[in-house]
Amino acid sequence: MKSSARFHGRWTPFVLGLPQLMLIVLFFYWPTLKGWWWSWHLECPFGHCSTFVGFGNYARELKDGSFYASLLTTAVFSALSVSLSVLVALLLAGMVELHQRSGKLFRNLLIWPYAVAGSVLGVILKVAASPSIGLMGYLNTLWPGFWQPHLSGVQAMSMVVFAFAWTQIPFDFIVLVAALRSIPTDYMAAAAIDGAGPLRRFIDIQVPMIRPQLFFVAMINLIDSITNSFAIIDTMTQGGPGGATDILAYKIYRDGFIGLDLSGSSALSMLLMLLVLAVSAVQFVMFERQARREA
Amino acid sequence: MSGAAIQVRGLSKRYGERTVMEQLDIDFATGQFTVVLGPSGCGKSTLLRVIAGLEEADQGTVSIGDVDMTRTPPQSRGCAMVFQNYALYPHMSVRDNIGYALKLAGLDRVERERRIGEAAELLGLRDLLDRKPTQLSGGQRQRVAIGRAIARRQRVLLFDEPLSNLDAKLRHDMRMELRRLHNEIGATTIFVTHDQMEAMTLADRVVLLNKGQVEQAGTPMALYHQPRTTFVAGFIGTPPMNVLTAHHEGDYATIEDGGRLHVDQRASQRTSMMIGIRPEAIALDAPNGIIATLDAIEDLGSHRVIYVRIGRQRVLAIDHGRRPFQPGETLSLGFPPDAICCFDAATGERMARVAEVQA
Repeated sequence: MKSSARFHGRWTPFVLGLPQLMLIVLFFYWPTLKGWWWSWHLECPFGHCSTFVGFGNYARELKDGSFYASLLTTAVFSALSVSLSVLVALLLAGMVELHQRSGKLFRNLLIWPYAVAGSVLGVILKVAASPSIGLMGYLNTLWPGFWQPHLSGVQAMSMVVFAFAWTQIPFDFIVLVAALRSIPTDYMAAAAIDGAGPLRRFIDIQVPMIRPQLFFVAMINLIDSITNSFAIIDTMTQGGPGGATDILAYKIYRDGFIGLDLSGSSALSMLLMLLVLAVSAVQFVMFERQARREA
Repeated sequence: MSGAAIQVRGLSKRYGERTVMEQLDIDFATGQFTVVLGPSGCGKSTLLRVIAGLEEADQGTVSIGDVDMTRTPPQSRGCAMVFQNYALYPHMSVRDNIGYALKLAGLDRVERERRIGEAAELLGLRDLLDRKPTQLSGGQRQRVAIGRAIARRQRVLLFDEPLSNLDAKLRHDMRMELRRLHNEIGATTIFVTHDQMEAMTLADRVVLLNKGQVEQAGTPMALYHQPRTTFVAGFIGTPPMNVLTAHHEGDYATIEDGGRLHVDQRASQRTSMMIGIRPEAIALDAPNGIIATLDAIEDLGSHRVIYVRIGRQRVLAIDHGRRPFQPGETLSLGFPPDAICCFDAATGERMARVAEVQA
């Protein structure tokens, strides 16, 4: 009897896996290790000298007020953008589920934005939200000073939150539509018989039943908002005005590549990695607990 | 609580190419327990879902309590329903499952608790109120589903094969309980099933559906003793009625290789007919009876099912005696005249007896 294909050579699997392995090592593990190394050393701006300083870099960052300011900015940015993207995606998914007749069309339309790169979207939204042209420009002529994201920290923050949520909504939407679809129709029928209209069914039955998936997308969004929001910030606000949108991921870039403080920014990267690890750990624990409850 | 009469008129439903029902008319009387019975695919569940408003009919009207509800959404029809797989909300406790409809109906907490308590008392759920559905056994879930349906005291109670997921013993207990509940509640009840035993034991009235049409509607005993067609004869009863082809001349029907029978049936132009007889009506040792060969015996303790052949036709008989039988033995079967149903061989419909025609 012949089962599926089998490779006999001992090295064949490694050879076949090599391209992927090389990519990961070159662009993920190597920089991480390099960052780890740098975070314990004081590096010269152009890398020609290096002194071991132990916790020196970490101590410097942890004493720096701008680190905590950036941490708080990150928290605000993450909380707002995650809430916004999950909420909007949930509403869209609920509406698509309600009107199944053209659901397929809308499902496809709503998934498309997922294919747009963050920086491209950042540029588009920057133009769209420009205070001098377009809709916002018009509103500014009606009420001078109404929209000034380059001056107002709150407005700048709301702009990048909106932009980042926009990039996350398609993914959340796909997951939530699939989740809603997987609810057996009898529950909805039973709720309808019990006297619940579409909105009540959504709030009382559908949303509680997709809680695991809501938690999942929120966690994915949270991690993404910490690590993957660089493109949006860089294209739209560059961390400004006055550090109002200077989230950690952007501060690392600014300190390292503009301030040329390679060691400090490496230490920051490690701290950021620790934060993401913590979030992931929480996620794992929660999923584990939920899986056990369902079993 | 009182019920409401339901009228279904000219109901048609198609799924793509397949026609489930065509121009169906059914009435459900106030406070009556009606069992809608039929083989799978006969449209009985569709009928129930159309009445509940969960599915839209292509044609026809549904009125409940003399109000046309054809376009009314399910939440406004005043029906309660028990689903085959119970459909208990998994994230709510038993208390909340039962109380959900009451909450939506705008009842205050005190009244809600009272009604939940009543339903729990009636169904023996008092100790389970704080559990989640996943912590319940199949029978307990079934009770909660029924509790949820009766707590709101709707005028119409709909059951969609609610007992089919239970084991035999539990099913029997629930049957008794449902009958008791109905007598206490008095709502118009429609109970869909493919199990003729449930129909016989539960129903005030049975509606037997076949291919989206009413094959026969009446009391369980009417369907049992006076089946309108050979389909009804073959569907009701365990084992069902024997239906034999026979040759018809004058007052007599001749069963091939079996013998002649006097039938209360004359004036027919046809020469072939069907003879129906219940297994328990057949006498096994009748003088000058129909000649049959014994094939096999199933002893069920309380009675024996005797498999015999008359010529090439298989016949089942039920025997309560103790006489030993040998396979291969020749028997002389007696068919009591008043137990014989005669069916038209072409249409399968029962022919009226001479006595009935004259009366």
